[in-house]
Amino acid sequence: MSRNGIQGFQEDRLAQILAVRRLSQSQLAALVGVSPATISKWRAGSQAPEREALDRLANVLNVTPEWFTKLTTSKLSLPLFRSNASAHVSARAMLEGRLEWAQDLALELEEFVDYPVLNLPTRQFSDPEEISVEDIEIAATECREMWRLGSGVIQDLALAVEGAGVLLVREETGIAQIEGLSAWSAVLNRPLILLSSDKDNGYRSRFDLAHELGHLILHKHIMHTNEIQRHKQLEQQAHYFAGAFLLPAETFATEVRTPTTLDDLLLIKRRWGVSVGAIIMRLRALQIIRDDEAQNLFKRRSARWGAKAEPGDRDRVPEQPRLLKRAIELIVDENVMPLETIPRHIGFAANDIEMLSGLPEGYFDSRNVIQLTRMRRSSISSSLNPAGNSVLPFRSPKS
Amino acid sequence: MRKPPKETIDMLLMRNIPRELVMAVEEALVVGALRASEAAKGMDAGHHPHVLGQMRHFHMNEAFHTALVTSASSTTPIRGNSVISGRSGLFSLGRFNASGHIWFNARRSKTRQQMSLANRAIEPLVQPGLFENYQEPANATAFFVGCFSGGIENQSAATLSIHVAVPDKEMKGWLFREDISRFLARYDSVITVQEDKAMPSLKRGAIKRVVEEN
Repeated sequence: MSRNGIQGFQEDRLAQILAVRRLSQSQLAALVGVSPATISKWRAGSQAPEREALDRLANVLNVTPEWFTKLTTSKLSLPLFRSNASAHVSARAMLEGRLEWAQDLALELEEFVDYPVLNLPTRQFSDPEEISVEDIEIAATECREMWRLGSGVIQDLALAVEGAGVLLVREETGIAQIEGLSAWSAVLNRPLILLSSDKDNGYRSRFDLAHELGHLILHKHIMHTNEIQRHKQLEQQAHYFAGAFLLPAETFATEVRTPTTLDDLLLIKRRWGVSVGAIIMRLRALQIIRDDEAQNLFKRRSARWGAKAEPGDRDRVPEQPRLLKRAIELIVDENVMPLETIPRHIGFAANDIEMLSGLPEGYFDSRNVIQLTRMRRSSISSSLNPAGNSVLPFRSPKS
Repeated sequence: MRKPPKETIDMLLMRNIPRELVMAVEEALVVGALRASEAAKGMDAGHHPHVLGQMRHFHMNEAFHTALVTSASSTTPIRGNSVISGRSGLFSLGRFNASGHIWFNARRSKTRQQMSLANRAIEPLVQPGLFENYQEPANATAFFVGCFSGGIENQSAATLSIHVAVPDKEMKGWLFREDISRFLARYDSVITVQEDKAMPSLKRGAIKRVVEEN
């Protein structure tokens, strides 16, 4: 290690932030003004950056220099991604890193606050083959009972999930193909869910959240895999759970007139907060409609509305997380820590904390806040690597 | 002045009659009406309305009886023209059919009138008395009413609607009367405001610790 390098530099942090910012080593080298080989040595831990280089590194990556000296917290359980396509390798790494940051943020806040007690049904399945449709229905019903939601429409699923002690993040990720991910944190002893807000569809987002909830309950003890069939089975089970949880048989079924029309289902969509597509799937699962009837409804749905959107998709404002936001507000309101010192204490840039916690943009803005520089679009676009991969900024900077 | 009771008839009904039983009765009356229609097919046009009316009485009674046997208690046996009744919580449950929305048939049965006397105790829920104090009664009566529309010769096989109805003590008016679908929806909407439990709490000594550190 370099004689002049700073003490305690954590190379894992560098690897993590490269994933989160979706930067290659050579792109970062260009931004910091060092050679790619130097970045490689920092990353491997064979050399640590000197003070000035660390400042530049922190500056271009939008974190405090001290952040690079913080020990990385224990890894989250391996999340399940909707898409295992190889095209999304770097996107998955970014999302995983982002979820780790949410864990770090929650852990820092936990120094001062207690989160709601974790209240989830527990299951010990170790293989998806062990899980039957009945098991999923029972788990969904048990979850509703534990959360005292009754068997009717769930008004705000995000509120219910966070009230059960699950940490929720909803942010723009730039990757619309991956709607969400979830994982268990050993250090927090609770799970985290990250939802992509890119589609800005309140109906889809609710279903995505219920889907992740299904993974957390049913698949906690199942080894995740990239094997296609097994991955597909896990996804189908999480989907089934989402349908059963949002649309309980005993109440939902009584509201459906058969034979049904797409317009009947649109009314149900508005009332239950679930897309027509998901309602058709649930009707088929409950054997209220046959496979051929479901197929016919899907055909008519495509013919009338296209494959990607449904009428009224924008009617429902997506549900927002509150828990991390409230924790920060509590710390500020109770004068535990001044507003402007929180980003420095945590080590993230203010806008990263705002996004992870759901605070409004500019919440930490104050004349006392030390503004960390943001990467400009021009500097990013000029740093295209020879392979032609472009750097996607995590979120569009303020114009 | 006494405070009016907070409870309402619909709340009393929902607390005493499980949703499952209401759904079972709904299904029984619909299916009973269809069975009656099937049974009356082929009869001479001059007889048909009479036979259909009789068949409805028998088939709907039998289906109602089955629903009560499986989901209620103290169900009376099927015997001649006797009124079938069962018990759920503090409610005695009976049924009758009516044409349209004017229920002339309701008071024809002495047994139904006798059953309705118990509702004296719940009348204060609708019309609080100045001197009477409401106390939860030990007995009350509710009826499931199958409604058919128009003349019997033109009616469709199925019931037009089914109502949950609670008569006054003389069976001259209704303390509560509602379409069964709407009544069933009440069970779903019991939780009207979702509880907000997504609240972090400040750790003990958090402020003190920060002051000491600084």
